Amino acid sequence: MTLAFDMILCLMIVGTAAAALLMRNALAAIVFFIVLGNLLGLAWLAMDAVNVAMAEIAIGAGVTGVLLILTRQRLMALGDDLVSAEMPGWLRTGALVACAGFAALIGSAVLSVAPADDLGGSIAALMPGLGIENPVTGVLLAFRAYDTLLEAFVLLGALVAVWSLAPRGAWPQRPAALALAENGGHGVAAAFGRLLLPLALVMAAYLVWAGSDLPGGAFQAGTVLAGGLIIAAIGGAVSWPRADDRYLRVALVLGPAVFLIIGLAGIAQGRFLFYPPGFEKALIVAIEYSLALSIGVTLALQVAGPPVAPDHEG
Amino acid sequence: MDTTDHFMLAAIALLLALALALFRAWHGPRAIDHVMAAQLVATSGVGVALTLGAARDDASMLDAALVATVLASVAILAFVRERRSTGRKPRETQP
Amino acid sequence: MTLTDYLVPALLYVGVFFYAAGSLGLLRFQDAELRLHALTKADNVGLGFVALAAALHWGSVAAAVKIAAVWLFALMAAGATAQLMARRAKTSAERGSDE
Repeated sequence: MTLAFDMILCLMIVGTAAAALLMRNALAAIVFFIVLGNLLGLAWLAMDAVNVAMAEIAIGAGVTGVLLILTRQRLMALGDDLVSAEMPGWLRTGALVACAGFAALIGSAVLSVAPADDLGGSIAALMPGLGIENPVTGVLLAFRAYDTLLEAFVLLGALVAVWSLAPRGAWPQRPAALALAENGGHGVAAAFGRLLLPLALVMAAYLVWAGSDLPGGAFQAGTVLAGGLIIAAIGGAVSWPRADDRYLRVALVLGPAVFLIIGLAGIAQGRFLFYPPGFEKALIVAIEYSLALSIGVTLALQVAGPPVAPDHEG
Repeated sequence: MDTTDHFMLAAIALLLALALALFRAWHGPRAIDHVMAAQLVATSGVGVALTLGAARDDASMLDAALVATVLASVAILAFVRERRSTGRKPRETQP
Repeated sequence: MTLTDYLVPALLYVGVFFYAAGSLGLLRFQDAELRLHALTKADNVGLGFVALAAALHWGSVAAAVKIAAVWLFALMAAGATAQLMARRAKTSAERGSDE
């Protein structure tokens, strides 16, 4: 019966991906992209990779979907008709060949990994030294901490790139408000946002804490926090701060900075990103909580877009 | 059939129900129809996560279901906030 | 066989039935408002019964609380989004646009 489930899910994933590519209507394509994210999340669940499933559902389906929907609204407000231009045949064929080649490359790379190389086993052998039980957190925050540190800075750099698109005169004002128009069910959205933001905070805190031993972690928690912030902003329960707000700046750099400082402190012990014995879990949890806050605020502000001059909002 | 099989069967049934909703996502015809289909897919996904978690005896899948419920409503809210004043080109800013 | 062994599948399939009904309604009903009505059945009742079955199956307080949180949260979100979507459908219909 598990086989039947897997087969149906695989067919649906391929079908949804094709639909997302083929739809002419931009909104329908976005919807199929969100559905694809949800189905991929279910596929990761079916493979018992709950960490990845959470990340895919939260980032792939959730935040990316919101980003696409808001982009569509922005384009419509700019007078774009959202019809994709006709492409010459050679470009279509070329794109198809390039994508097929890329897929074949990835496929061969995945298939070249021997099923019995026991990567999980070698990580499991190292885990007791960390005092945490989730091997994914172990890899992300200890064994491959370089990658995660760089990712944290990449995310921050992406926000800097978004901000640098602010028109002259808008810097350092606030991003355009996301709030609903007053007559369009404003009260419902406001109540929902006010209720949801604290719940999202609690859930994010729980996901980081659970992330030491169970699936979860800073990226999933940060995305949930960003979701709560975006909903509260749409409800008008929170308004975006100015881009030069001091507390905002602290929240943005806290995660990467704490990570970097702890990493540099490791040099005193011998090498970069070395956690002194006995303090591994405390340091990892400290990094993860600050990262979750920074990721949440950064993602929410990336969705909000660059600052705009106060006189032409929206 | 023991309880685990029942949960697996229910997961398959939910997946098929989800596939039905995709026809509405394809045809529309109105914008709101596409969005409603997305909402139903997300809710069905939460159902699949719950049943799969029960079938596999994996409590962490409940956390995944919780994350999915929060993030599903964000996209819907982003959609309904759309301003009525579409088609207005904002003033060009001089570089 | 205890009572739960019968109760869990029964609740589960009732939940699946409401999900299927929601999907069929979304597919077959005439206009957006009717479809929204079908959609909320899957959201609220379908998920509710599936959650009840899962909670009984787990049989632990911690899991039950978490599952209850999933359902209550989904109820709240479904209530808010359904109303907002209905308003949106109404205003766009009044303007005579497909949006």
